[in-house]
Amino acid sequence: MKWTFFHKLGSPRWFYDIAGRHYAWLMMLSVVLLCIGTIWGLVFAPEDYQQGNSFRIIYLHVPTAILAQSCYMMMATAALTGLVWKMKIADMFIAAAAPLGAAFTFLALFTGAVWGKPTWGTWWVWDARLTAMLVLLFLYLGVMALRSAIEYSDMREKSTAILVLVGVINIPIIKYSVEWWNTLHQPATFTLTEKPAMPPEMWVPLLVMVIGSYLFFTSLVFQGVRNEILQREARKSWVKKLLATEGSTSD
Amino acid sequence: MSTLQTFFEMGGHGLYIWLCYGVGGIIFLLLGVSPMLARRRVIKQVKQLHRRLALASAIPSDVNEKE
Repeated sequence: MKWTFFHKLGSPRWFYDIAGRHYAWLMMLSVVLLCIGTIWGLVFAPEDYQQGNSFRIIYLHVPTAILAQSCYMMMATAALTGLVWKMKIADMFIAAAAPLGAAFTFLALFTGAVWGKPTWGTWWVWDARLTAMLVLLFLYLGVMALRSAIEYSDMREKSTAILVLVGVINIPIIKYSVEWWNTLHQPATFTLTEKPAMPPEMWVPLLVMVIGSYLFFTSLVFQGVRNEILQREARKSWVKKLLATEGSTSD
Repeated sequence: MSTLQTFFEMGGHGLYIWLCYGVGGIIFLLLGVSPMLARRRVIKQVKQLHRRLALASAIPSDVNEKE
């Protein structure tokens, strides 16, 4: 097995170039998909026979909720990689992803609350799924607070990674909360193994939104990690050369 | 016009739906713009650092010997 890819991934300079080549088209494609998905979901998807039009919130709620959780799993993978192989880029990924995760978790909670009002008759219940998502939001905010409280150092990298890894316990709780406990929240919309319980006119736009959100996230992470690289490699000669030859805001 | 009005009313759920998509749109917009603003800030900082380093290395070597 070739490990060159793995070694390259550990090189900030290599990642800076690769991410720089791809973030722009990823962002454009994501904007196109998100616009298509939103219009499709709001205008063309049929009404739900029970919930009426309020179900259209699903096109924002489900993508942000999926991303909120998978962002955390990616951060946990990065944390483990950083601890085991001392890869600098892992910590930069966590730095770039945590605020995005927080934003998506907030949005999932917010849209959930607004959806809950007409559907369940209440904005909020201390239900297992909702509470676990709130804990996820606090985990993201905790990671960000921890990082901003400590100066850049190995200690900060390690303590961030450990906090992220401890918080992983929350992810299966979110996922299985709707099965383990009686809850108001409905079960998962998408699973890898079964067909969705709704007709294609409803779930295809949702899939478009999910893919668009992932691409959006990827582009933002690429840009965020690039910013982290510039900051941390500021004293390296390649960064000096790069910024000396190029304009202030261009690539 | 009335079809447009019924669309925005969303069968009485308009307030909830537009509240969600409004807040969602704002957050997505902020997320999309923030790395570009951050990049400007970072480049400014790093260039400043480079100028300082260049200045420090231009100082006669006896002052700078300890490095």
